[in-house]
Amino acid sequence: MKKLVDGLVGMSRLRDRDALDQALVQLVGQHAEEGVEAIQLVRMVGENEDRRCLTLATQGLKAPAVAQSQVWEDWTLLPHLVDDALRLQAATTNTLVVSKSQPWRVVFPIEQTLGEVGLLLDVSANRPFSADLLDALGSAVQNYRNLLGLLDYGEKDALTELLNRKSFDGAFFKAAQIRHAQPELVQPERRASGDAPGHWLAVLDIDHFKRVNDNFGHLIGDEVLLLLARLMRGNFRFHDQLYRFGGEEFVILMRCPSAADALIALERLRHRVEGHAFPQVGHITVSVGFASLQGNDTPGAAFGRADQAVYYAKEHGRNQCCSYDQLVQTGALAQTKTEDMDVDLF
Amino acid sequence: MEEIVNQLADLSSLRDRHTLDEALVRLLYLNGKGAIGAVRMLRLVGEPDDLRCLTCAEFDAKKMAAVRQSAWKDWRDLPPLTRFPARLAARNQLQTALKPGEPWIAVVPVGEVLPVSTLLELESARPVPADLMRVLEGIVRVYANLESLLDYGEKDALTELLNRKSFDGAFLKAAVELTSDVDLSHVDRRAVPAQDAYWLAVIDIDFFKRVNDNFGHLIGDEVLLLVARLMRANFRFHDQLYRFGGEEFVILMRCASQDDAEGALERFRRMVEGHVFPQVGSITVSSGYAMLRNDDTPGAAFDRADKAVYYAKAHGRNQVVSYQKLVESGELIEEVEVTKDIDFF
Repeated sequence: MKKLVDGLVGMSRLRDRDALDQALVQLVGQHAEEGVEAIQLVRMVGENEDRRCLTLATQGLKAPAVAQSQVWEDWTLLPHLVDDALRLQAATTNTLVVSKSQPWRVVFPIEQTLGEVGLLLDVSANRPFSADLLDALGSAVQNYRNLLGLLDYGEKDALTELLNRKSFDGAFFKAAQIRHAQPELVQPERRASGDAPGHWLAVLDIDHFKRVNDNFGHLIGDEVLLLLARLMRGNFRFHDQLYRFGGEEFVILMRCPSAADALIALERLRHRVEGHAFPQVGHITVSVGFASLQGNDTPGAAFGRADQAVYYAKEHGRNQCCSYDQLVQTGALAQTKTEDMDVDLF
Repeated sequence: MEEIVNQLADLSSLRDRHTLDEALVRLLYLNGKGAIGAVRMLRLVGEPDDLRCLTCAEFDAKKMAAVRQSAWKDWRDLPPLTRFPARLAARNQLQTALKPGEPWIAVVPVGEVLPVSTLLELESARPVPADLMRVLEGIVRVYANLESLLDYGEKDALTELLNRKSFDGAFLKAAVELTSDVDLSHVDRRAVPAQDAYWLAVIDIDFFKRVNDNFGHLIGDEVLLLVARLMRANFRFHDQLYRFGGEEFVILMRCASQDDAEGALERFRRMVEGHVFPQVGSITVSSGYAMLRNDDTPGAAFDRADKAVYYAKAHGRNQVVSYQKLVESGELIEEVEVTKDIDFF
């Protein structure tokens, strides 16, 4: 009993989602004596028939099917949800599913928002699951889900359910680390030209949003923000991180194979927004600025660069995506020294 | 044995701090398996050198229910911490302190860093077995973690004041409390004086942009931090202090009269005016406040207080302005619009 409580004490101390995932898998792994052999926590990514399983944390598996770095490049390497009957059933019925014969497996659906199963916990054992064990695993899942919910509560914007500023710095430094961890993979000249995988920070601002609020009221204004957030979710990939920084300002921390790909993704969103009919308001447009993450970058500095590009986009007709790096290269923008570019992110 | 994991899962599903406190004392009592006669949660309030004990949740065999004490009394009426050696020891040494006797008392501190502001007191007829004590301490640690997770989400990272997130909830709770006070006034008249009301105050630092422009963001942040500290020192423990972003602060306060509300805000204004901020020197604040009404909304109340701030800014700054008085004196025309809603997201 003490050990279980200690496990929960440790889990409830975490702020980092990856660590929380790992803690759940470890907590479930404590039941090895009762037959638990392998544990896999997966997130479902993609839509409808093309939903796939991204492994977040494992224990007891010999080797992960797909390496994380491959996934960044090509997420279609991930296994389809429909190819795993147990997982599919758990995801669609939102109830735990236990295999009726060997191999002994149980899959727990984990709701992220009400009624929406985003994660699955897949547990394999060397014998049939006892009712007690299922109860214990269920409780562990419930604890995990609640803690995740508490994190969401603190880190997500209540209106759009995008991330708020709170976790931005942490995600930024994490992204910067990934980039630095593998510098030898990329030749310097490729990196300088933006023709190399990396992270980009984009700032998106709705054009003339004040007019929407003034002419149609806050309720309609909120509706626009909500719809835009939905368009964003549909446009970017699961590993791109979407933020609302307050008001009509959105931020995207994206990982792309090259600067050209970053521009394509942002252009696609700009185009979608332009073509979308917003109830009552009709059409709105967005201005986007983006900048590549540099070595020794800070959240404030990178945000400042992207923000300058947004400003440029706004000054030059709006409804467009501008690259800070390109604006500097072409001389349209003078490069600013990093130390002057600190933006208050509180 | 798995029951406790379920119970802790229930605990982690809660967002409301009062409900969480009540759930904790209940959980400790139930897991005491008859060995624990009563559980009390104590908050230490008052001044650092004069701490008092406020019982914020309690569960015992007789009542079989978690009871909450009213937080609205003067803290000087509460018993001093120094009168309870076990509580004092638990707080100072960051570990469970025991007092033998009838009953036995065990005091468990909540949190792992000094200074601790919450204690749990367990009463038992006999000393609590060591195994059981460790489980109960584990439960308290889970609670402490959950509380800090809530803080993480609901507090501004710079000033550690509350952020907007919990404002609507606190506002509506205050509104409900006011309405129910009227209905239940016969139950406990002393705890809640009938004439009490809630005020919403908005405080804005004058010329803050200049601070940032002239001294940089680091110094600007330092000013915000110091203003937050002055706020904490000036207002009472049950006043709820928020930073709404930038240089805008909000206070949800319960006072007996308009004079009391204005008095507290005026005291704060003078406190800021007289404070020497490193490098920046002196700064001032403009405040506006408004009384909460029946059927009020967070947006509407904020808007009224904000109008008063605007008036203060337009009339020389460094002053406290009451929305009510402005309307009464005809300086402001009240809008009868019902759809006055501000975007709080």
